[in-house]
Amino acid sequence: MDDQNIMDLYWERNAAAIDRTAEQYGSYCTAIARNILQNEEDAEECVNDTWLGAWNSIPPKRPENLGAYLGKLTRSKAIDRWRARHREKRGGWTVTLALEEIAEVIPSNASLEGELLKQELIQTINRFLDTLPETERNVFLCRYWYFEEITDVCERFGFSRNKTNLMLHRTRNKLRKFLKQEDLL
Amino acid sequence: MNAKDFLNALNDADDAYVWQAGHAGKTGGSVTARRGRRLVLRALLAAVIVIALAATVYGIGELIGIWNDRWLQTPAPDPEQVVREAVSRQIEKDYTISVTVEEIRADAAETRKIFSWEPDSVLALRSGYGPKPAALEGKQLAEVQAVYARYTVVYDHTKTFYRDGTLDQYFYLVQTEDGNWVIFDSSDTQELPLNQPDGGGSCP
Repeated sequence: MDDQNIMDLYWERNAAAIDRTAEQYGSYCTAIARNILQNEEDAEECVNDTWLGAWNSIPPKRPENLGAYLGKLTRSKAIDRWRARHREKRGGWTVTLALEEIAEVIPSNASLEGELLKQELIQTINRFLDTLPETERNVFLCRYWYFEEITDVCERFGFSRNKTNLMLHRTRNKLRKFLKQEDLL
Repeated sequence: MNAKDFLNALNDADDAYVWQAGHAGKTGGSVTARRGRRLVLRALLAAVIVIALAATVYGIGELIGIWNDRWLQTPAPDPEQVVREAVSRQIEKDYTISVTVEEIRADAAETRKIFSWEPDSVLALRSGYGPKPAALEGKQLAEVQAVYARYTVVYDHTKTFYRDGTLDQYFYLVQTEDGNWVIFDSSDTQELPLNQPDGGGSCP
């Protein structure tokens, strides 16, 4: 069943939409949740939250890329869970490491406030991603969007650990430079 | 801005880039598989359980007719027209023998109630005054519309147990960015005796 048919099921408020979504995107979303939460049970619960989130938001939404939309829902919900667990001081060290890596180039402690600034940042990030070569962009997103461990990124792209770390280091530096150019740092 | 803000905002990166990265590399998604087939199998098992539960709930719902909000709709600039068409198109369902629209009208009072999520709105009552529907989040009053419909429908009861007769029902719509209206939910139906369309029934 293609995305359009699944979307039609949501718009008809047909509960089979959830079944088809789980069949089509269950493993994709579970992998994202698992990367972030590092806990199978939490990941499963998170993915179930994603299905509920999709059911509640489609309609009125009609995402052009259903897979990416579900991935974003999963990532967002998993990070929320990670934060809750982080407050309890347990697990989720992959996100902690990713945060520390990004904090090397974005050292500020001040939190971004205001929807306009957030939207501006999103647009800036997309412009930054536009500037990257495809492989570099994919490696960057696998690490910081999907929160894959470095060893998994190496394995996925067939790169050595040194090469992967160096590539990520250079991309982070490019990011810092880009954000400075855009007056966001 | 700090690192957390950045990682949060990265969530809204371009769909195409996100999707491409998730399926990039020599080994694609098999990294996960190699990390632990057992974990993947457990995830699949969970998905099967979800499917089975959803199917069971759906089957029960089909029997007692709680999925009566499955509307064939076409978004349009006129909310009453969207509802009129959605009701009329019930005839396209293989279990519908006939359907006649009696009355369609926008209901300002119910619109205000669901917008403010007042406990006595029909939709709030039906949901047991649960959380405000996600479809209403971020919407202005002008982008929300409740539409009352009265229609007479006859279903083939060898195929469905949906309630038929002359029914009163509310439809709830929101306006999308392109200016069209879409149904996001509907109330339960209230039955009036057949052939007595004015037989004391009122809006739910």
